[in-house]
Amino acid sequence: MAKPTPMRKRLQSGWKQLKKPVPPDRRRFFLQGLVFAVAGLAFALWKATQARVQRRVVLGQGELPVRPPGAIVDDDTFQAACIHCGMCGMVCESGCIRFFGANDVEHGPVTPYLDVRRRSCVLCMKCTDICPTGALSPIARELPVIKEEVRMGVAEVDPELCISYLGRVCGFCHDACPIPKEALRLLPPAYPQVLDGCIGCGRCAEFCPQTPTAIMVKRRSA
Amino acid sequence: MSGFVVENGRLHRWLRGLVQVVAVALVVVSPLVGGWQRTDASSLSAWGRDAYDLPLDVANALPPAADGQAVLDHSRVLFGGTGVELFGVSFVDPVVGAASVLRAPGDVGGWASFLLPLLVALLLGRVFCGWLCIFGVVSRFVDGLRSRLPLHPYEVGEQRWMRFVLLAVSTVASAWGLQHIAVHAIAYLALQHSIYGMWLLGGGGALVGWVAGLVVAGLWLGPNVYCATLCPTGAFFALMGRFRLVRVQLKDANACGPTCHSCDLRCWLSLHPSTGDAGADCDNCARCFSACPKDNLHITTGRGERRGRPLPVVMAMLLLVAPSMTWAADGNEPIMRPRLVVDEMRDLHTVAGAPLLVGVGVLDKSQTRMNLYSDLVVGGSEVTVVVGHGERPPKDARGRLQMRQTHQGPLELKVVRRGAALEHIHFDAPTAPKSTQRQTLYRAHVETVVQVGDEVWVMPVDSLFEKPLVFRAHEPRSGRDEAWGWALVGALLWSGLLSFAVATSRPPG
Repeated sequence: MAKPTPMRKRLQSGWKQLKKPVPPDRRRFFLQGLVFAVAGLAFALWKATQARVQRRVVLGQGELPVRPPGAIVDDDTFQAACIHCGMCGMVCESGCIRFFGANDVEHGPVTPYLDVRRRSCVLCMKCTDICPTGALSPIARELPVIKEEVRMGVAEVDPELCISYLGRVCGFCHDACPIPKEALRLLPPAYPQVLDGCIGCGRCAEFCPQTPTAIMVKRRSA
Repeated sequence: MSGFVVENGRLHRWLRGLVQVVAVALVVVSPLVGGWQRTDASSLSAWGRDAYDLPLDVANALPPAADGQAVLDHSRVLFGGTGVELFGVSFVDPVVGAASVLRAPGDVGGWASFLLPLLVALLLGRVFCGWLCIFGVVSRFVDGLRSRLPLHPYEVGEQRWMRFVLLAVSTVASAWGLQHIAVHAIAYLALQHSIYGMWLLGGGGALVGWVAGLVVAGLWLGPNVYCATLCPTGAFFALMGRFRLVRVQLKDANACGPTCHSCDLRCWLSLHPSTGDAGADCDNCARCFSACPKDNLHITTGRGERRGRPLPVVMAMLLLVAPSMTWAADGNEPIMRPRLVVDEMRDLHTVAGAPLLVGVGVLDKSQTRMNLYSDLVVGGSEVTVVVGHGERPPKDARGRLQMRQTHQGPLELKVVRRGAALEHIHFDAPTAPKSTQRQTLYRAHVETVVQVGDEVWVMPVDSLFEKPLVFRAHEPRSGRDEAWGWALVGALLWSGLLSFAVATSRPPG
């Protein structure tokens, strides 16, 4: 009487059989590819209609984000030149450079922007050195050069919110400003006044004790 | 042909494994090493503790870093993913490099960084894929996982033209300014960006989901099918690899058994070293060496290669630890200062074209202490609203700004969580700042702790706006919800693409 093959052996040979590479059924793969691709596209489109992009920086209708120093002024050109490599955010000393999400089509997916209320630019200019495409053009790390070249944005004061305008003396923004007298000065008693020298680093916004912030950096209009 | 011969691949394989471990570890850890000090960089600022990038205990346990440059220094082993400066010369991914050259054709640095990886590929072929690529390590891990599941592997033919289509699409798209197609198509870039995004940028949800989708698709269709049939970077290196110098070859074709193809079965890129030539895609990983019963393969200045074992420990670190720490980082930070959860000024041009500005600020004071030494917690939240309308009058002679009209009448607020109103707040008139002549802010303390995802509704004010305005409490790291949806999108689209790629791959000849 033949000895029955032990269960373990049979399982093993079955496993080996199963693990043998099989030639793909092209028709099946083509059809399933079609089904998956269509389902994926449909779901992606549905998600796009549901798009609820969360970001820290609240941008108004048609308002452009504050880009890192040395960025090409025209935002469309900037988006075309940026290759989304993320190097500017990687070398950023303060971590102020953030990126739009992969699904944030409006402002360019994975393009850099500054969230200055969260963390302001320390003007290290490393992002301008590392950029491989010239989307950010190099700027020397010297204050006179920075004052001359950097125009990320300009601070705007809301007198309805500013503690000094409302009757107390604050001046946090002035104390935080890296180029006082040229970018920001205080009018007596302590009204902040933004001057032409403002480069948009956002220190004032970061340090403003009011909520919502009474001073915020906006993109310069053309 | 001479000098350079690798006979037994063992040392070779160990070396490759070591390089891979180091590469993955550095990609995972380098943003931390360089970036942790950003977590509290602005502790002097009013809301300095608002957004920890890392849980405090993690941040405290890390060694000090000089500056963000350290991130770069530590990720050099991977050429920084997309690009890095090494000894004063920058290296980039060839596909992204092509994009860079297309965008800025006059830039000498761009050309140099584009041509250098190309020269390496001309000498060594797809060596990047087997030795440095972090997605390659992931896919080896998934391969190990899949080999324990009752799923058939599929034979992928050696002619795989879909990847050249993808390479062409991402390069051409880059020339048109749609570079994100390249970043999304190249898995290791997406993976690296999502790791970086999770650590430093607080998010990366959609990208994490996209990569997770590819891993899921790989699990049921075969993990290396992406590398073999779709990866644009791999396709580029394979194009160069046709002409390369260093290859895996059979020592003696006649010594092989008549039907033996053990080496073919071991090849992670579904190549056929048993034919004597592993082809342009070989990455010199030497896996086939270990499968050969007669030790009949060697690397010489002639032909073929292979790559890594699954690295379970490193992969567990990558796949479990990094995301779970990101998970853990949410909402668990000890906060001694108020946390800003809403800080938004909204411009509504509703009043006959005149500006109408509504600003809402919410401070989470749930863990705020009275001072540094006190254990007393304030608790609750502070809600502030300002409603300004009309044009701002011109500055006065001294350059002082003039105020807009601000709403001074009664105002209703609601704090809404998942559709249910938790708090109704009624103001008769602005309440803040106290002790000043002019009050413009409606400010109230509520016992409810406003959490991420909650909404503050500013109820309609007669003659100003008609519908309630909804302000959402945001979180420093968003995108967790996004990840799930995009994982599904990624799994579906990648499955579709991989199926097409398998269906269209053909045996040679």
